[in-house]
Amino acid sequence: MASVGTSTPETTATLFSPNRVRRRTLRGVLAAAWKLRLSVAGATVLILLILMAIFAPLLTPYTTNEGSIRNRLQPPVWQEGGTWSHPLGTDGIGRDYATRLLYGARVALAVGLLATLISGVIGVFFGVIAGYFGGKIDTLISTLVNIMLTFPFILLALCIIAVLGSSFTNVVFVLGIGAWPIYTRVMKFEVERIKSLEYMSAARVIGLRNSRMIWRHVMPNLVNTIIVLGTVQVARLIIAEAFLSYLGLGIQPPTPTWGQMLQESIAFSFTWSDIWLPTLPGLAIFITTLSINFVGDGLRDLIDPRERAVL
Amino acid sequence: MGAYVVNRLIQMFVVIVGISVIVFVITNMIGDPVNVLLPPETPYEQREIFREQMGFNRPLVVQYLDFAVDAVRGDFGNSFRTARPATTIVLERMPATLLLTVSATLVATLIAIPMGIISAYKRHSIWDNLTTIFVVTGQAMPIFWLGLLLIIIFGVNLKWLPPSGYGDFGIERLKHLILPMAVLGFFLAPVTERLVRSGMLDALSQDYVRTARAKGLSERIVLFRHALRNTIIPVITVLGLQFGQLLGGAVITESVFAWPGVGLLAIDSIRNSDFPVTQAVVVILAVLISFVNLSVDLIVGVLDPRIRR
Repeated sequence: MASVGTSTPETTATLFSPNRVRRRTLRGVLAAAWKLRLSVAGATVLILLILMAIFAPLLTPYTTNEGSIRNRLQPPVWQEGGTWSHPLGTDGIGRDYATRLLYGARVALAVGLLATLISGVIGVFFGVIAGYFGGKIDTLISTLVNIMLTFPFILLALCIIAVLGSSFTNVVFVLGIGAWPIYTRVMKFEVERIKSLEYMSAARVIGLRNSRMIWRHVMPNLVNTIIVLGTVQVARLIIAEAFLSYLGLGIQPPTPTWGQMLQESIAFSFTWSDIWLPTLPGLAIFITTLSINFVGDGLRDLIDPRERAVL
Repeated sequence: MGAYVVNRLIQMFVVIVGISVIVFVITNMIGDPVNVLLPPETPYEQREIFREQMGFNRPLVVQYLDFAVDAVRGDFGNSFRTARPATTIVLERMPATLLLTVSATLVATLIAIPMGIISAYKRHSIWDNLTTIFVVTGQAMPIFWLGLLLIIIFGVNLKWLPPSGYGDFGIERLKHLILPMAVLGFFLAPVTERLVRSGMLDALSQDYVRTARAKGLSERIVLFRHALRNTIIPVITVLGLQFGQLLGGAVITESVFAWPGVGLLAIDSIRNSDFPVTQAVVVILAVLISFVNLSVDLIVGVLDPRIRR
């Protein structure tokens, strides 16, 4: 009984991984960190971003919506005329650009994380059910997944957001509802693979109930894949949120978002000296998604080096 | 093969019906069509008479069946805004979208195939690393921002290319095409490169490649005749399956460049609550996507007999 009950991820996939032993020593960890230096850098940037987002009110003397029209379009500090009182300049109605970018990070990260959480829970649930039970349930779920994956995600999101109206909760909801099929598809195949493993037959033979089989023996083996998939999805959903905001269909003013700032900047950037206006919010999105993707890459390498080229 | 095709056709039918149900339900939830069609000051009685005349008071299921019967005949009703048939409006926009997506796919494959071959063949070399940087950058890039920057740099400041729009047929059209094509190509190239790379890595480790090398064939022949040929089929399959995602990228690109394709039409119609047009766009795109997926499957089935189950 005990030998069956202690089945963890270690007992299946990783047991045969050549990296298993090496990773356990300190030198191994350091060597891995060096190999994964991009991911380490990505993680560092990401943690900084999260801290900046959380402590935004402490980092800036301004609020997101105060500003005087007389101060409008001050250039950032590295350009002629820029001052340290507004290190990243001011926008078209004189609001501090750095402050708005900081608070924009809050929205982007919160939406990305929450929407990923929602879609992850729904997607994994359906995927496990479809993969574990198969049959008609599988056919039904797979058909739904096919329908959703066939069609451009962004168009569905746009349609639904038009129904619900744009607010923080609705954007999170729409992205969460739209992004789950990818988990289901991946999870289904993973569960089918796990189900065919020997220890699963052993567990079945000793008469474990389905719920226990799923929680104790299937789910632990899915955690790695879920984490890798989820990481990449956060980046994808941050971009989707930014695009909705850019179209004016995302989170509404006065809450500042990067997409909205990008949209607003268009009206003011027609010369070389104004190009920082659209550059900065886009760069904020890009740096965030890039560091998330680096982290995701590293996780994938750590978990399964073979999968690197696939996803 | 026959059973396979029938099976796929049934799947295609289910997907299209599913999407049409989703869009029908969603657009009917957006708001009361009566509010969109009649001026706000219309008295209540007149609204109800109008609702009755238009059949908006019937159960949603009945309305859907009615909609589906008309849709099969290509009739999605008239646009609430211009009163022209929605199908015509969508089909008019189709060439622009096809021009954009096809040219972007060409650009993406022209970049991705050589990159994928080199990075797989010279694994862990500087080329492989540069390619990886390209891929990671591409996947993290918000393409609407890239588009905006290109417009500001090449369109507004340098004035080399038109910043947006469609242009007249001919050279003007091509000039207008370059920036959106580059953006959408950049959206598609990373995925394609990864597919080519992993396929080539896989192929190069196969026995037949070793045999070919042992026979003394030149590396060029081994690479292109043996390895690449076996890599291309899965690449085509996945690209075909991702046609929907490509259209998603086209929606974004079109909205940035005011490229008058179906994607821009979709966004406009959603914004204006022009339900017949939204429904027509979504269903016609679903048919197009399913058709592309099916044709890719069938072409690959013909090319690769192992797939015909």
